[in-house]
Amino acid sequence: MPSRPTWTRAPEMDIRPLLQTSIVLLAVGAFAYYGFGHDDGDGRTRAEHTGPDYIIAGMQGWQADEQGRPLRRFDGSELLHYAAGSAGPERFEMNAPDIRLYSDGKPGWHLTANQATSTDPGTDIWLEGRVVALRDASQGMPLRVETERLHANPRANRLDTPELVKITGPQGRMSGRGLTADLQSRTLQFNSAVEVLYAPSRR
Amino acid sequence: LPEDSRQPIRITADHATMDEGRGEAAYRGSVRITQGTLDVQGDTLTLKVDKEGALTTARTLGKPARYQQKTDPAKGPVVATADEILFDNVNSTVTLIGNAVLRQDAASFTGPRIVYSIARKQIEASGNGSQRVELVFPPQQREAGKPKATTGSSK
Repeated sequence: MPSRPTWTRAPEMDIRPLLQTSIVLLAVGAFAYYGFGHDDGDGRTRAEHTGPDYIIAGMQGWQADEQGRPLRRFDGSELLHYAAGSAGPERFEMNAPDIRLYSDGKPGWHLTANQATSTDPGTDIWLEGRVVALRDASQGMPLRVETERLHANPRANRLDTPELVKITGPQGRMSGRGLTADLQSRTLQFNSAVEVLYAPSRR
Repeated sequence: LPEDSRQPIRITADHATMDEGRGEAAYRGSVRITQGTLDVQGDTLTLKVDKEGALTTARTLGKPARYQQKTDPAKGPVVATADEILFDNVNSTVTLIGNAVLRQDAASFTGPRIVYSIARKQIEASGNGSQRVELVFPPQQREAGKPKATTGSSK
């Protein structure tokens, strides 16, 4: 009689750290929202801020997809929040941003810059100052994109900029002014001043 | 020249679109490709690469598109123009399509379609219903220093 196969239970993914992080973030957000100047229901904002209404030092934030897999991770030395008001819409500023975009749970792009500004972190992030975007080898040829200003729309998986952009890869390097990149369909478009240098083929 | 293929390929253009998934890159506006002595110019260029990213074909359109390359150190460069120039990097051939003219030193070929094999240094020109092929070869140069035939007798 063949011996019965022994099944061992697959270790469940321990999501308690993730839950704790989310709870801490919610607590911080709630404390900041109720603690400092908010609209208390009768239309009067307790204090019309021109500067940030709260600052979080040493920030790290995670966002996960429906299966709990990492989708985006935001690290920064400082997050400044500006409430909506006469000065403009609600705005987030992050110093020394370090943003990682994941695809199906795998590392996709890693973006760093001097500063990031956003009115909606899901669709509208401006990175400014020595912007570097690195594509992970798991997504295709490893690439390094360098520019001074880059607009990211994480939800639409798009990057774009009007600035000069340099892209380096194992095949060579290319540069141009004005770039639009669709990370999903892996297409990119340079609008002007295109220069490409392909390494000699190994034929 | 043989070492051309070991040189980096440089492309400049006004506009470029790259589709990594399909292995294609399309360039528009004052397009120029150089690689060693190879020099191709046109209005648009479409490059195709294989899975490893190596170049397979380069198709240039222009009014006309221009191609120039030194293929033999002892001769002048091959210079060609056509409506379309298709460079096949796998078979090392250049196909000229539409108002094709190919020259090297004083020899020239014209016709609707010319296929030039860089590796074998062979040219195949073919006509169609409306245009025939024309070949021009310069008269053989007399060897230098041979006395010219003179008329009349010497005393």
